[in-house]
Amino acid sequence: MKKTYALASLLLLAPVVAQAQEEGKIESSGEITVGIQQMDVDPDSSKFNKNRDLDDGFNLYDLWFGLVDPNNGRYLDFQGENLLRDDQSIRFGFGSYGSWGVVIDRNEIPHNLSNKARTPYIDQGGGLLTLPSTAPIPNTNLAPTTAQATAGMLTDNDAATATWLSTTLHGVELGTQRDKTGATISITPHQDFKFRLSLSDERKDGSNLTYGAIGDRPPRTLNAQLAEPIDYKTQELKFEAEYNQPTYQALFTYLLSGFENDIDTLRWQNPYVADVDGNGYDTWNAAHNIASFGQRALAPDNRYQNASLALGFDLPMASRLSATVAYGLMEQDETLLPYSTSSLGSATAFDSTGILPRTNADAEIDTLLFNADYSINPIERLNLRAFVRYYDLDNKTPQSNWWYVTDDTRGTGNPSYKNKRVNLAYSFDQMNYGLDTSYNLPFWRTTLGLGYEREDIDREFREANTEEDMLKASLKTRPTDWLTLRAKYLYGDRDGGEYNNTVTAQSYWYSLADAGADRDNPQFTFSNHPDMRKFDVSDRERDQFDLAATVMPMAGLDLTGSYRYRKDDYASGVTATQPLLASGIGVAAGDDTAATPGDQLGLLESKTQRYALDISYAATERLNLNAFGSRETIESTQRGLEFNENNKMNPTAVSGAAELGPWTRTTSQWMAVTDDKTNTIGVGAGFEIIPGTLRFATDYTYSQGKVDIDYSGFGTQSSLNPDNTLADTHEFAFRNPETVTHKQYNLNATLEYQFVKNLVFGLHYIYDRYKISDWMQEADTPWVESVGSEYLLRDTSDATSTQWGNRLINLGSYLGPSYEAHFGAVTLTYRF
Amino acid sequence: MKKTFKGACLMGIAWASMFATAQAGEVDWAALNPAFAKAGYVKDKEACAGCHADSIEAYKKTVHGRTFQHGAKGPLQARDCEACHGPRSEHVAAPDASLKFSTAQYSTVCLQCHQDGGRMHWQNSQHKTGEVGCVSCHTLMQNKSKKGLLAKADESAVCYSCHADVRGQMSKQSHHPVKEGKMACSSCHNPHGSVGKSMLKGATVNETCFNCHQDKRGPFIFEHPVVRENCANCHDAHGSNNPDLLNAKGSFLCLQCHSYGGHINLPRYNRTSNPYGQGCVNCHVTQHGSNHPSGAKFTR
Repeated sequence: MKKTYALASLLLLAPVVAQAQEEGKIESSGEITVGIQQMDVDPDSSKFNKNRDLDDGFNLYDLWFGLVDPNNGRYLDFQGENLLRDDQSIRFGFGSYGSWGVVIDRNEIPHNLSNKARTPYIDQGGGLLTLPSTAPIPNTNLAPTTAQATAGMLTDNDAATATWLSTTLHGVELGTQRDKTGATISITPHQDFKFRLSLSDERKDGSNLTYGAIGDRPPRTLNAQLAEPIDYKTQELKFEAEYNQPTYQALFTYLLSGFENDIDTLRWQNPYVADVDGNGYDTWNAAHNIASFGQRALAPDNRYQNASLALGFDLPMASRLSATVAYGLMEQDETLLPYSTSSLGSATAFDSTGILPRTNADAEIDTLLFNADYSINPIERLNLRAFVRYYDLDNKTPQSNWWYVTDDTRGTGNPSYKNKRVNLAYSFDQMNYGLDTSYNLPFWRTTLGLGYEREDIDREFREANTEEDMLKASLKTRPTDWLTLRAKYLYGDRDGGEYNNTVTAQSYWYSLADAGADRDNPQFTFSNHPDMRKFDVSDRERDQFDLAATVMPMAGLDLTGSYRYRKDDYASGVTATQPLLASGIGVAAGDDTAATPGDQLGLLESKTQRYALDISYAATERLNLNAFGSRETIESTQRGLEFNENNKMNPTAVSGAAELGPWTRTTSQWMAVTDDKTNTIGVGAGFEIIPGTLRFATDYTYSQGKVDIDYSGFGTQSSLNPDNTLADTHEFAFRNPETVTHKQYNLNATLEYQFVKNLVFGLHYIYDRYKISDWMQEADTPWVESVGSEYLLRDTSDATSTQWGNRLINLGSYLGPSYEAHFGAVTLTYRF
Repeated sequence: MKKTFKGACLMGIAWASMFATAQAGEVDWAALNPAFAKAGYVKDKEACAGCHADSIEAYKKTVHGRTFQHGAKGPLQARDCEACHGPRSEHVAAPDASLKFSTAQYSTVCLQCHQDGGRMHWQNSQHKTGEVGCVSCHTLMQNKSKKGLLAKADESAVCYSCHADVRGQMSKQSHHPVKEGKMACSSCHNPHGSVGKSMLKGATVNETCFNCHQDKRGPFIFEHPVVRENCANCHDAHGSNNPDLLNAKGSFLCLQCHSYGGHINLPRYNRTSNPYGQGCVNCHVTQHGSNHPSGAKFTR
């Protein structure tokens, strides 16, 4: 197809070019670069070609040309890069300067995720993934007893699965291709009016990494990594009309965007359920009815419209007012799937859409934006700017009462009472307003700036509304012609007000009688731990410094340096609370006064520092040098607390000898400090060995990323006896994971020789090396055990955790692994 | 409050439009630089070419050169060289550097014609406030870039000359394909100013992201509020050392907000939620929003 696009473009243009040259009246210019390339990538990693399509053989690297009729200003130009490849770009334009123009473009983006993935699944098309057979596990029991586990029930199942996988695994390509074609027509019928109409068609297909969990929730979940088929189409229309006068302008824009997913549903076979009765499920150990197929809704078709009007006015006293109003409408009305693929033996027809509160999504969100900005220079040297911005997101999706089947599995009876859920129509409106001033001081071309901004966000069905005051100060000075210094400071104080941690209870619709004596009961006790503060709605104090310097000490030498420091402190004044006090739900005495530890949970603090330095030096007319370096460090601190969810209502009933304690136990807290560092350096040089004839250019870039997590508290140590270290095999164990590292080395070298006029011969070499080490992509870490093949993972704590969930049939480790590549090319460039 | 606010703003705009009189949009050259006070228009490009032949030869191939030559609209554009450089009779008579412009003055000249469309918010933009001018990023006298008359061949190189830290972010293992040439800074940002924060093209972060990620647009029956409000709550669009541009590693991101009890409170070894793959997303796959009736916890 891409060859078709490229060749069609060239064929359409050929007669035009020929005609023009024959008439001898057309000015033409252009350039074409072709070549042959060879590469060696070891191993053949998809990471090398993640967003490109490099392959051995002939390449049409670059083609552009332009034709202009000097008599009437008509033009035609073509630009093509990487033609005939999956990463080609084409831009074709024609028109008449100052009057009208047409641009047709096409951009193709591959996103290669893996060429070594292996799966037992067979893609039947239409989102259906089946298996040639099911794993012949000897024991069908999601939660065996310790005695059964000790007797080998778990290992017998794992061995059978490993043998089954060895006969069913086959390769599967993982990655997508996004191709977008667009056309824009521009017309300027009069100097006061401009119109533009743009149409685009985008296709994205291939497969993406996803998961297919079936089973009760962990630790009784059976899971598999899947290759989700992708078949998206997006078509857009955009119309713009401008009316421009010297002192006022108006721009109207209308956008219509339609997204279609030709695969609405992903349905995958359960590798462990044989569906012996043909009723869509099996019963395991008289305790769990597990479906033979899982099913979920994929990205729904949706439509988006947006209309906006922007106005700008030049007003007296060198002032300007700009204002924008925009209305947006997002709609989605997909036909819904049933709760489950099977009734799962229940009297309730969970596999029928007849019991749904509605059979279509009927989802709608409206947005409204109003923005006004006014700046004025009331006196010499002083600039004032006032702004206001209002954005309202109104969710009009109807709220309904739904049941909820956990991953196509149910225990005896109906799904848990807690699975009675309401879909909440989250909405918010945001108001920003403020004033900025700047004053030009009468020395060193210095500008001093001060500003204030206020942001208020009101939310529905969220824990808090927030109000933030921001103060800004800036200084820019040029003490000499060769030195510019800038400094900026921002202080932000966000107040989350009263944090309502019971807001998630609004998403449940069960009665207290439904809960009975159940001690979990998230609606009437709490859902998230009361000490949790979600960072996006919590208090926050922000400090941010920016420093920058530009130095040009001599002709041809530029140095730019910058530094940024930002600290976000999310401390929200959390204190101990008694969430069950006077709850009215019959909490026993002693439990009603149970108190949280009063230490804030969630993200506590984040610190970022960025350093950057750029140097460019035109040493001589023939020699250019450049270098750059940057470093970024992000340190974030968070706290968690592990507690027994089954004792929210009666924390005192948790056994004093239980490692998994109540929500009141301070020693169940853990801390994680993540240290994320990125260092990038690069050098480059360009040298005209023989000016105008022989040129050499080279550059080298090294980038290194590291993520360290310093984990402490529960997980490394016992919540009962904090001086005791938990063993790696303990069911709650966690350690500082290995450092995640990414390293990229890249060397480019090019030698170009112009041996005749308009003809340039080139030699190119690229060395590209990528190294990755990531504990979340390896099947080789202390807590993960491979069984039979690297494609089956389970935990190693079967001595204490007897539940056979936590299985993850996976596509393989390091789907885009480390590689080392050498690339060479010989090119010929013709300029005309 | 909303009605009062809207009414006040509409009145302000109506008032503004009354005052936006039809003054000449052309630059007051004498106010720009007193040296223009006695100058008149030469109206002859050959006079310029007498000394600036090389520059004009390259300029002729630019969109300005061609538009002014072949499609000039109105007297301003018809002046060609003097449309931007002002009346040059004094300069022709006695060539010197007294009529050179500062960065801000160049911007004033450009805004004669280019205060329209996507540049309508320039005057109140962060770049203008930061004393960036048109010629900080553009060069008009030759085609150094394939489009946009940029000062360097590559758009990223122009932006990185001031935003060098972003180059480092774009080199992280998870990044948008900017350095591969498939996207550019202008894919998300309007450097000329916009109504969005950080000069984003969309009114919000999400509206900008939805330009390409239409599958995440929804709306969905079950919304994840932190997603609906701001994609940047979980993602860093410039680059991340974590997969999928995420701000934190695996389950540590989700644990910044969720503490229900049981399997989700702890990055423990013996749960599929943590040691391998994508952490909590191993099961909670529809974290951007679910359209499934059993999707309340984003597992369907």
